Amino acid sequence: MLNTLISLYLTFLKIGTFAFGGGLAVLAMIEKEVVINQGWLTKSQYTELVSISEMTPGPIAINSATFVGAQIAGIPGAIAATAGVVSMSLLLMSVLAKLLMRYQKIPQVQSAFTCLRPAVAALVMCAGISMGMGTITELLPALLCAVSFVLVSHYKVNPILIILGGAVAGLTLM
Amino acid sequence: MDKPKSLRTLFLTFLKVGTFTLGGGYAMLPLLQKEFVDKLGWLSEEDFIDMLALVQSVPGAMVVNLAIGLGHTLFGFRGALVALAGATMSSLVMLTVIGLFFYEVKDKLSAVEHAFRGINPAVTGMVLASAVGMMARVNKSAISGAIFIITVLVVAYFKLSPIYIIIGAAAAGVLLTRVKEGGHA
Repeated sequence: MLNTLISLYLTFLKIGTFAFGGGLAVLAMIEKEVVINQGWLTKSQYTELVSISEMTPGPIAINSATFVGAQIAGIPGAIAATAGVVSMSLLLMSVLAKLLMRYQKIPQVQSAFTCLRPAVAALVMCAGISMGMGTITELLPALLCAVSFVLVSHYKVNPILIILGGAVAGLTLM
Repeated sequence: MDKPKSLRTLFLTFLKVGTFTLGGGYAMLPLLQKEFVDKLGWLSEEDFIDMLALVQSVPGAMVVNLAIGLGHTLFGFRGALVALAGATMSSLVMLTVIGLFFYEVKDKLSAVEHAFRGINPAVTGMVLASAVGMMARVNKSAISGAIFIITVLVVAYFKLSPIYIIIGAAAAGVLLTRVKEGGHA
């Protein structure tokens, strides 16, 4: 049991360390490590894992780690896998946040951030575009996307309401 | 109108974001931005975007990294832990339950799948609005516009990982200032 928990922690530590590009990168690493290398899940279990992680609230990386951990070793497994996937984040982000606080007043750092901000806005835009390519295939989703855009940008409607509205529209109209 | 900073509010805010956002990291940005910048007033729009730049250069889940970074900036290491706990609590509970009783709940998931046909486009609109909002608030110059367009093109065509964009943009920022200062001297 303890051995399983340790290898769950270490496997998810590795996943959290090498998954560049957010939750979806974590899923790709899980396929490699958990399905292919460790053989803890079958290919079809992995497919189910992907849809469950995307369908439940919260970060995809945490959802998938918890789910895999729980299936393999119950509640202790869920905790070990989740702890593993966040360990590297905790270390790196704590250090970076500290460095940012200490050096953000330096002119070079400020000029770096002047160019970083439009790049970050563009990355968010790209994420939105790629989400749209997957989901906006008909008129109704396109309309829903446009309405949500206007409600958030012009009327500052709470995002939680938008998600609930989307769910209602999905259940009743689509 | 700013709310006083407390670890309790930090925890509850991340709990709310982790519980009510569907569709992964980018879907959570609009809500996080609304809570921390507009409602609580703990961060400026620039602070938020700067943290997002750091987050993009680190491996792992975006919201987890953002929670740790924002928590650490506001309250030090214990803030990082509290924010992380808040952001992951709902997932831990919910997915443990689903993981343990997977075959009992499996059939009920198809209704959820239906709801997602509406949720996904709604979230897309929200994320796009968030990007436009960020762009509207960064300093307006030809360089900012050029960086925005170049980034969109490069990511769309070459599927470049965000980390290279972050490194490239930071380097461009430092170099451009050096060129400008050189011109003045």
